Amino acid sequence: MTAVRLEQDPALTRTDELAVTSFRAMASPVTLSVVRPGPDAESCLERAAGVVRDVERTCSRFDADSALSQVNAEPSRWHDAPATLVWAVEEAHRAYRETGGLFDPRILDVLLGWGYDRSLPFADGGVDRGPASIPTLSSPGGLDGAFPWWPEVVESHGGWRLHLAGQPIDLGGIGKGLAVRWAAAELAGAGQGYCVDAGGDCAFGGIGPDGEYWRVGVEDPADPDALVLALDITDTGCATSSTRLRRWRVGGAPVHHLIDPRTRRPGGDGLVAVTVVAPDPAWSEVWSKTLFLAGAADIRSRADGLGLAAAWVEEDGTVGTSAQLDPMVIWRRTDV
Amino acid sequence: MTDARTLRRRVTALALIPAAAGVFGASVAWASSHDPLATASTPSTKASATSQTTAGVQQPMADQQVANLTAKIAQVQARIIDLQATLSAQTGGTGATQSKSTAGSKVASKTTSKVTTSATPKAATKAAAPKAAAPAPAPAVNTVTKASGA
Repeated sequence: MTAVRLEQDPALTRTDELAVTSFRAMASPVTLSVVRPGPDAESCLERAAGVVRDVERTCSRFDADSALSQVNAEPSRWHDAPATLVWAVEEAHRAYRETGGLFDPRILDVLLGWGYDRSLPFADGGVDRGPASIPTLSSPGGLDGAFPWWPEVVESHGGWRLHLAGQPIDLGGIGKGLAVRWAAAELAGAGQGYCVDAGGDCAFGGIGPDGEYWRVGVEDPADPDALVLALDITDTGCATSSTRLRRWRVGGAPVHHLIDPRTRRPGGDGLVAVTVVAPDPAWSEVWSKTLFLAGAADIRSRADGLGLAAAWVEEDGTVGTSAQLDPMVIWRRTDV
Repeated sequence: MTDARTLRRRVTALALIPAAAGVFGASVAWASSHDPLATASTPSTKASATSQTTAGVQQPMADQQVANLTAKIAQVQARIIDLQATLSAQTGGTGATQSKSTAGSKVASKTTSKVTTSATPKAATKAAAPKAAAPAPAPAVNTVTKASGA
């Protein structure tokens, strides 16, 4: 088995058993892997990487030149928009409807009000964004509230026009999930198995490097070098919503990025991380985020009620798993 | 003249009386200070004082030695505790790795042998206790799902 480093992309490496490319996008390390790659593996990997970079260019709110930033700047008028952004908004709206408003990309105004208007050095939780207290912001409400979200999309002259219905949005989580979904589609025929990993949001297909399944660890939010679970899965998506990194302080009060649209406050009382294994990576992201908002008291009943394969870590380190996930667990840390 | 000489003798004699008394007193005082009984007790006192002084010097030395020995005992006890902990960890760890590989089995039998030959039944029981509680190590994984941005 000889490793060949391809000249056109120094991050692309191929052996008889595995072809891998790694790069950084959407503020995360991205790794695309193909097991027992076929003759088209390199081109598939390049297309998959291109898909991820396209989503980053289009859907990032931190890039002032992105299509999303242009539309967010004037959310009350129609815009010509690239297909990638239109599809992302449509998927976000579907998630908004199917979760009863628990997934609401309009919580961007809360995040901006708390100073999360740029990529922050979150890792140690020591960032303080200044205001003397958490600002009180008007609530747009959920589906049953006074301000339901109803963005509009129309096809025009072979292109797309988009109207955000008056409020800027954040597509960060679902955008990454969609990038993983679309990149996975590019890798489906590249070999006997594939994995797309975008900073913990993943898609798996076919065989893994060591056998029938992909062996996936679930990070311990208290120790990024440790695991709380190991799963054997394939032909599925997987995502984790965690407060380990995206947390900071506003006027001394601790906040994190998982906002409950009903209260417009940090949600998920008693939880620090939720992982969902769902067929689609974008919906894994949607469900992990909305399950997190259930909090430690209700997450098990919510996960079982929705039939979701989910794992969660509570503030005291307790690890819980839903009945749907249990058959996938091949190792569980026993001292938590 | 005779009277004058007589007077001079008498004055001389009178002058010698205190001198003789002084000499006598001095003699008595010397004799008193050189009483054989008193002389015998003095060296005894000196010897006792010397003994006490020697003991005063030797006592801190002895205390220091005791302290040193106590410290050594503490060090040895700490070493024993470390070795027990290491033994316990090895015994517990092999429980997890035993089924994984042949090497794990070798380590397990080696550890068992150690426990059997070098420890009393009580110590063996102590060493075996963590074996049951020791968590299995995480298996190698292909990737990790984690906090976004990590």
